[in-house]
Amino acid sequence: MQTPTITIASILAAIIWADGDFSEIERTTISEIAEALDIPEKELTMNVTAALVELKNLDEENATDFAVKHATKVNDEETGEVFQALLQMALCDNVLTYNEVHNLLALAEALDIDQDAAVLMLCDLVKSEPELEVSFEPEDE
Amino acid sequence: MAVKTTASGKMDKRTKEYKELKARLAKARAAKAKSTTKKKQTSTLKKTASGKVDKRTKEGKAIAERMAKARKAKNSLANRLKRLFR
Repeated sequence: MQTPTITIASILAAIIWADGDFSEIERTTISEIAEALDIPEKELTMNVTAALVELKNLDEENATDFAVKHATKVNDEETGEVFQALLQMALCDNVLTYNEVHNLLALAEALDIDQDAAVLMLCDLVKSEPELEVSFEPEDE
Repeated sequence: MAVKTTASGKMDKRTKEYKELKARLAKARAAKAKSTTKKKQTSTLKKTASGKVDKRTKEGKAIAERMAKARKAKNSLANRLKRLFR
């Protein structure tokens, strides 16, 4: 990957942060992403943990800005692969929520992926996850 | 029991025999349904309104975790990247 690991880790951390704690499922998914993107797992995990510390005191809006800022630094040739990794992270708990879709589309825009392609990629992944639950419920309830 | 048939060879639904046969079948179906209901174990899993396991509960998360591990074993992200971009 040409994109710095810290950039990928920061965007992934923002997705993890939005979902709550750094759970076991997310750690497993980080390991899957590291393998798929050819990044040493330890390096990616370390960077994600560091980014999570940075995100800890941010509110939702600032966390999105943080993710978007890092997303713009992704190598142009690798935006699709990074977006796939983000999709994997957002869906790893098998629930797709309104907020997750909102964040994913904001990140797609920052990655310069047009909305149509982003939605198609999301559909492609959803199709392969028969157990996935699509939730229209607000997350703070 | 001689069952009357229609000209087309099907059972004549107006006969007494057919009505008895139908009643026996209904009784057998009811008995089977009752025994199946009894065998069903009650699940402690919290379900959503749609009847699916609530993925936000501890049990739901454990299931998701097992699935993430299975997915990782299948290398599905790598396969998807290969299919879409390489």
